[in-house]
Amino acid sequence: MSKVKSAIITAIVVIAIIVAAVFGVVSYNVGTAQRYNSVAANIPLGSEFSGYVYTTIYPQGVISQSEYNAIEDEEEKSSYEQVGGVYVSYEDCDYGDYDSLAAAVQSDAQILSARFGDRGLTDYTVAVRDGVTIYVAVPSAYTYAEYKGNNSSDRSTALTAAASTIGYIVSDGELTLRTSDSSITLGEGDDSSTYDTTRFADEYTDADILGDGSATYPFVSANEDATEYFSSVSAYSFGGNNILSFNLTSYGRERIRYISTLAASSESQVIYVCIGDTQVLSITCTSTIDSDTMQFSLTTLSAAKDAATVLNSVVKGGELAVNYNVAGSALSSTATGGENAALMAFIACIVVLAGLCVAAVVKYKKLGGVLSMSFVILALIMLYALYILSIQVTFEVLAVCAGVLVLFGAANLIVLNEVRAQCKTGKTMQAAVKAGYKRTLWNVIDIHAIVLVAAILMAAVASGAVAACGLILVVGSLASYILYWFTRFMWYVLSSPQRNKFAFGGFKREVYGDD
Amino acid sequence: MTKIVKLRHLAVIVSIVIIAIGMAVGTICHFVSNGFFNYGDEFASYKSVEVTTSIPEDVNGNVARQIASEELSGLGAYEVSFSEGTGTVPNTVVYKFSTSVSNEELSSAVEAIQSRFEDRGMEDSSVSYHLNEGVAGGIYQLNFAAIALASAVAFQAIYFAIRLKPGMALSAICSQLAAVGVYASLLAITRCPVGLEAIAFAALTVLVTMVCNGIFFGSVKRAYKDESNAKVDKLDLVSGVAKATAKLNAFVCIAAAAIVVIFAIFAIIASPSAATLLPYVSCLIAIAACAYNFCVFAPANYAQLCGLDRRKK
Repeated sequence: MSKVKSAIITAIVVIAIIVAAVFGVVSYNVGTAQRYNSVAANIPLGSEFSGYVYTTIYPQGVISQSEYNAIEDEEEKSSYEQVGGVYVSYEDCDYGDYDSLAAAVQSDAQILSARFGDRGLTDYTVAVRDGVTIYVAVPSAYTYAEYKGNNSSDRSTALTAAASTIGYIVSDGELTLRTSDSSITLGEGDDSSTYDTTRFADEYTDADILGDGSATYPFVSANEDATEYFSSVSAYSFGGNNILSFNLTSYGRERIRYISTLAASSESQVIYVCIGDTQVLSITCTSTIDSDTMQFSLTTLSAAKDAATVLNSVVKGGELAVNYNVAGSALSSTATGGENAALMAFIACIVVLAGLCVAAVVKYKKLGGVLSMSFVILALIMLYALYILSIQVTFEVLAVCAGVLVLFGAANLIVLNEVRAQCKTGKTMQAAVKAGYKRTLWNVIDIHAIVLVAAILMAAVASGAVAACGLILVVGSLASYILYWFTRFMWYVLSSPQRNKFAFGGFKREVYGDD
Repeated sequence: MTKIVKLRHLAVIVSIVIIAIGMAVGTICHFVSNGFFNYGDEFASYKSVEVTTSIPEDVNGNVARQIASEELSGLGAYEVSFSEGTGTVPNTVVYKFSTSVSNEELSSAVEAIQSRFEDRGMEDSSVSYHLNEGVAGGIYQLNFAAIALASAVAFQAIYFAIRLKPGMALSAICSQLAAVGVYASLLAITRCPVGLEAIAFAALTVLVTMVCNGIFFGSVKRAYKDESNAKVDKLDLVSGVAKATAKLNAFVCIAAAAIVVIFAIFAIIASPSAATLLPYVSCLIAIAACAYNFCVFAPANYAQLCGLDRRKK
């Protein structure tokens, strides 16, 4: 390859890297009012870097310290008994004593923990507080720009999404299908006249499902268990649509046909799917639904996952026993790793990358420069992948990214050691490189193939932090293998104009006496 | 490496002993202490003090932070977080403590904070002290992670059996089990607090072991194919390859450990508390388990399998 060709290719690659790096990591003000937030600043962060959104849920009859302080009536105050940092009034509570209330709350905490686990969050906390309340926390998932206040509108959206996740998942009560049309009342048109229609009637008609004070009514008899309609509920994203999918039992199909016929003929044509007082889904029904599955498109995947998690839990018997109140708004805390944890982690990433590049240059001279270029490209690929795939950056994800860099380094070390060994046998540089790559080809393919399949399995089967690690590892292992060959290409491009090709990589050729 | 291959029976026995000690320590702690592992926040009990101040009385929450810091910082909180209030939502400062911190100390600190609020006439402010009992929700993530990793290990075994040799596949499975076993044992022995991140690091342990197994067994297969090694004893060959790949595997482990240390240093700069280091410690334990596995267990275990049948290469 000529010097000109080599220079042009090198310049194009270097310019591409610089442009990608600038847009990737540099945030700056555009004019006075607007700001460009870099790709790195727009990646969602885990709780150690952006904090938690948390709240405490209180059973009926249990209040917080500040609520207790606000009570002015001494007689009312005296009805409360202090339990740790909260106050319990057994008169207002569904449970007559501490032990039965604590047992019910403990059981509910297990159910909530299972729901949060099923939700696939990278991190969450469920703790029974003072025996009678439940503390729940999920990552706020702010991006760095949101966390630092450089993108306040999106920060508010992220906080609302996290609070909404908590709100859905802590929903208590039974699954019901409801309508706002008073013309359709309990059991109307239902042949099962033997049902006890009074059991939950008061509770249901009083519930403010729509949030505007208007009443809603169940479609069927109150003692009919709507969980028997569904075998499972799931959420997925397909073709840009966020789908909430219900699998119906044969009995459920029959009942949904009946209910959807009623809804389609009603004035509002809406079926509200509710867990207790929480409206999980609103289905506009213009015709009868008669299918084994029902799919609905929701605005965000997060909302679909929230709804699927709580519905699936209730369908499978995970119904909360106690009625809870959420005290105030969900709060957003500072990062658990310190207020500047994200910035420090970013600096650590730069230091690690710089360290690998310096080590490569020290060990392999100009060839190390080629390796450094590949290291930077690999880091940028993972940065952009984190952004595009919206992978929440936690310490584990950063560890995987570092692991990918090490994997790439190891793959190159294997081949460069072999090339060095081939050089020592007296081969020309070209022959040594060819032989080195040929001899180590399967070894490199082996490790990448194994890691790739393991990563795909982790991403597909596991949930939470492990799935996030799997997803970035899929991208990382593919990129590592492609860049392994890119390094070979750039080695060829950059070393072509060099006269002493051995000196380019810091290799030494064995010179025989008769040469 | 030659010594390890020569003393292969001992090396395998030592690995089993480490795992057995870990299991024993974990089992004893399960009955007499806080569980098989020293569970972190997600699973274990902790104490917390929550200080709230209303917006009109404390606009930026600085008063709450200052008073809480003065009264609570000496008690060894492992995590401090602050939520800035808006409108009617109060500012909230939360200090988390391990259960070993005495109730008396915390109660007196809470009383001191309350009296300081009263002195300042901050009637809407409150302080409360809570005992929190974590619920082991991580078990659900653990189940799915275990299924994924078991499938990955099975795939690796099949891949090695087809691409390399059935003996190598068997040895790879053994080394995976040993790596995870040693990791779990070290967590149990060191009583390093185990959170959800420990599950992710278990997955990484398996992955790193896979990479190192790939490097080691690939090199062994290449050495077998090399005709110049035709008359070399099988155990000597394994020993030689183990020695040659040790440098590469050492690079993987040293680089990984160095990266973790760099991250730990910057994490400490961001939040100078011992609790900050905990995930890094479990990460280093994972790396140590990997390093031990392919420096000691994998060559010894494969040499032992080779030793059973020296004639076949």
